[in-house]
Amino acid sequence: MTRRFPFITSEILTLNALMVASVLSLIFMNSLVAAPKVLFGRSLSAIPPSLFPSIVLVLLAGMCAATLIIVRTRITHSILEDRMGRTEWLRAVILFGIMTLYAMTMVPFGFLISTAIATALIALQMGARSVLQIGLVSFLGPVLLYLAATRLLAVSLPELNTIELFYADMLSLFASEAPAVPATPDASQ
Amino acid sequence: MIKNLTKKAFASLAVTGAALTASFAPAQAEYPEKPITMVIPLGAGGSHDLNARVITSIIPTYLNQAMIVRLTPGAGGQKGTQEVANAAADGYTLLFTHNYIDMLQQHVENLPYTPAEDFVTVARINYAPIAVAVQADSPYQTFEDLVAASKENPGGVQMAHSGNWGALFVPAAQMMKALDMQWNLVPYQGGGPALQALLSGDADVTMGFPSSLAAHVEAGKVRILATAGAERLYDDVPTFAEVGVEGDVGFMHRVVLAPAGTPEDVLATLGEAFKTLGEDKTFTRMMGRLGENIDIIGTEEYDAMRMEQSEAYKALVADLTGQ
Amino acid sequence: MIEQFTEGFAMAMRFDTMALVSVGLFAGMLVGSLPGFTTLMAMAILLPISFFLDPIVGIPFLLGIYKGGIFGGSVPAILISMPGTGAAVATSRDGYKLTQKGESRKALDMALFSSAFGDTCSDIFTIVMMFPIAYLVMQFGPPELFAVLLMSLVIIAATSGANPLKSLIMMMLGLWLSFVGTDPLGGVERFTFGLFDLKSGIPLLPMLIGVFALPEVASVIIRNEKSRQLAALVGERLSKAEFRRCLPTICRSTVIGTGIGIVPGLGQIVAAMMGYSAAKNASKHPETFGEGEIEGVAAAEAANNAVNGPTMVPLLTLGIPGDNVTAILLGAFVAQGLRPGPQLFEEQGATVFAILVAMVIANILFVAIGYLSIPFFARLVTIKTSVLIPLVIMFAFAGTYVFRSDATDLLILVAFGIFGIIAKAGRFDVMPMVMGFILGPSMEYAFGQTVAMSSGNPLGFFATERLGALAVLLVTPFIGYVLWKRLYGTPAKI
Repeated sequence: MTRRFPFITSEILTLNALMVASVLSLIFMNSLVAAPKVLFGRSLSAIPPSLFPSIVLVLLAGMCAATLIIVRTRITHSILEDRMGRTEWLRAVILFGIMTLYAMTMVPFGFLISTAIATALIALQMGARSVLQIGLVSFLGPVLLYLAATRLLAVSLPELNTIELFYADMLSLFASEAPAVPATPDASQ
Repeated sequence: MIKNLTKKAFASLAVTGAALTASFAPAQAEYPEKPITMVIPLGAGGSHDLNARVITSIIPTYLNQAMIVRLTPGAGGQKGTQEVANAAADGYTLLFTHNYIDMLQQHVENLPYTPAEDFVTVARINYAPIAVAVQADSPYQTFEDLVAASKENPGGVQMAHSGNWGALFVPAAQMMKALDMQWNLVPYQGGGPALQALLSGDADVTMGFPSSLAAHVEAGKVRILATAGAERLYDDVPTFAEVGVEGDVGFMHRVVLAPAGTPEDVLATLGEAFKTLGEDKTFTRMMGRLGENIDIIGTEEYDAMRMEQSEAYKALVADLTGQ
Repeated sequence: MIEQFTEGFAMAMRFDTMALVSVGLFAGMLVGSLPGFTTLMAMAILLPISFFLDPIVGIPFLLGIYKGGIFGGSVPAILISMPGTGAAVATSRDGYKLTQKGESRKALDMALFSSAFGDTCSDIFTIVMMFPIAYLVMQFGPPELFAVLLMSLVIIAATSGANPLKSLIMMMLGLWLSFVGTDPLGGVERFTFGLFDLKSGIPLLPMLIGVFALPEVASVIIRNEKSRQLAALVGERLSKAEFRRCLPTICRSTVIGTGIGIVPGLGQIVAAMMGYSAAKNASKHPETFGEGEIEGVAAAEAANNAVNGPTMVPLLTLGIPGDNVTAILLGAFVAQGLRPGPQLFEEQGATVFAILVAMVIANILFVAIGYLSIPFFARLVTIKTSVLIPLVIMFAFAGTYVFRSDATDLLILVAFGIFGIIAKAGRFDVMPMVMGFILGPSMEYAFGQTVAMSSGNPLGFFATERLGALAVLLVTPFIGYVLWKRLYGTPAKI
């Protein structure tokens, strides 16, 4: 079962995992779903909070079992099978490793630094070797997006205080050189 | 005509533009030197959102910095509140919330923060009194009729509210307690859907703020039976106190809070800005159109009110849940 | 009524209205095309501007942002399989396949024309039938909503994916995920394991980007297509003949979308899915759906835009906004001194009709603006992948973050990305999961309300007072069976 039918395995694994998870959740339903609260001695919600989860989990477990039985009786050929070899899986692991790193560093490192690291790594993984191209993408991209998001769309992205103040200084320099026109949101969209 | 209009349009653009250009202004030595974020722990398009849009479009004039709205709904308001509780107490992260999330929730849930200790008031912006409403062709002509019917047939009267421990639920529960009656409380996803349930006949009674009920009252579709507060809002409609529901029942206070530990001078700057905002002509006109009042109250006064609220809600919750 | 309409029509024919509508359309399109930066945000930010404009200028301006934003949302859905909202999910299914075939321009054109067509028809229908629709809206309470939602889920499960059983499994998984967090009715925690981050539930946007976009992006890297482009060509523009071929589908979807717009609380997501399912069911070659069928794009886009007209009705006639977008419009109306409600038409009939006519004009302007912008959007996919893919990943992460400003959402995004790859490998269709996830909470809420209304006896309640809802519930299994039989009459393929 190692190299020949990896995707039938991944299908069966998923089904098994879902079935086990739903059966376990059904067994431990009482500790996973809190009891409804009470007001004037009556329940605060008309249906017990565990009603819908119970129905869904029973159906889920049952259908997983049924599908597993059908899958085992037929062996079909996977379309993706030929494409995902060991190198491919390795690339997937590296890629999602980079993305996890990106997710964990965005707030502590700020948007610019974390994005620059992540995009540069991904570009390198994809085989880009032009320093200029990588530099432009991983530096200009986040700077422009950050400024567009915080200044034009008025939403916040995480950023280090020093970098944020640097942006503010740069923009005020720019603004003091050309102060005449108040930026209208329409024009700036 | 067109010229006049373009002029108006430009004036308006300049106001909003101010919010944006404020961030382009030269850096100052003192607070605020960068845009201020105002977190709303509620969803987009609600009354807090609308109020905040008006506030943030005008307050940059007095702070010389933009104020950015950040909507962080979730877990009944706890998500956004916690975020501000954890934010740096430098005056750059504020919370725009209301008294039920702020002071009532701590008594019904386990919160990851302590409202009384983690927040200080910047300013109370305004408040809204709630009103009890029925359909115009309802058999309940007066509040007494409604109470009598509710006592006669416990749970037979359907009351539409906007969610457990929300702005409609709490006054309803207080009434049921005070008048010893029983309603069948049916939740809806907000005050709007609750009103729609009343209009379609699914619910017998609901509550609402005068700003949202007014159009229906004038159209003769809805009748108001009682309103919150000590003074009558409508000449022929009794107050809660007159019908036997005493205490601070049925007010929603919209309030701006800051994390505890925010420096005194920062709070003073903000407080001053909100106070002058309350007198701004454009601000009063726009809030008037939204049907909201303006009654700015400062740090000390509202902090004292918060303590009273906390005590009152604690007693209320203990009373209602019998714990 | 007629005079008011003609007066309103004349009022709407203004240069400044059209100019600002165009600005709004363009701004909305740009913002909407960034996933996570929702149209709603753009509307809320620009709302104060409308306060100072004439009502016939300010409100159409906001409507322009909204309409532009809906189309903007289908741009990344088609080009990089990144639907930013639930409404664009059905579009991305065939749209992205068309992009991979090098026909992105055609897909975008079709999205534009079918959107504008669906929207215009439903707007006109709404203007003419305003009061009958207002009456119909009042007939829908929680029991009816529950019945319709259940039927929608059955139809989605029966018509999506290659294997109905696996589609159902994914739908159940989606429902299960939707239970995580605070129970909407009773306010108690479910499946949170005591984690505060899970208390407000799993957010939708990381799920959408995670299961739809990241696996596609990843597969480019995994297959090591560094110097290639996502598609070498942007292809031809949409031809008249192709539009004509899809016209019956577009009309069907428009009717479905308009109908769903009348049911409060269903909205664009259900409309897009139902329009798509119906087109697939009616097609002579249902197997081409999901493989780059232009009709699929047309069906989804016409349906989700046709919702727009009727959703204005409760806002205008009752003053009750049905969703966040109409809530912002309510603010704009009120700030203009127009108070939506029963008396609006008596007091301000001409102005309201002028605004409604401006909605129709916005659609027409939109076709022109969209048609001119599409070539630029379409060219995106011809950028070298080693430049495009890192940027796409940056947008995915930034969009996820700005949605709720929560770093945990980024980890959820990566987790759904990994799940998406596994599901792809195991040939599970993630669409039913997403639909179950989106519709599950509404369905549970509506059921809870129904039980509360009936004082604990829902069966008797349906049978005595809610015959309409009962009829829908009874016919649901039958519809599900017929659809399943028609589309998968042969024994289930695994």
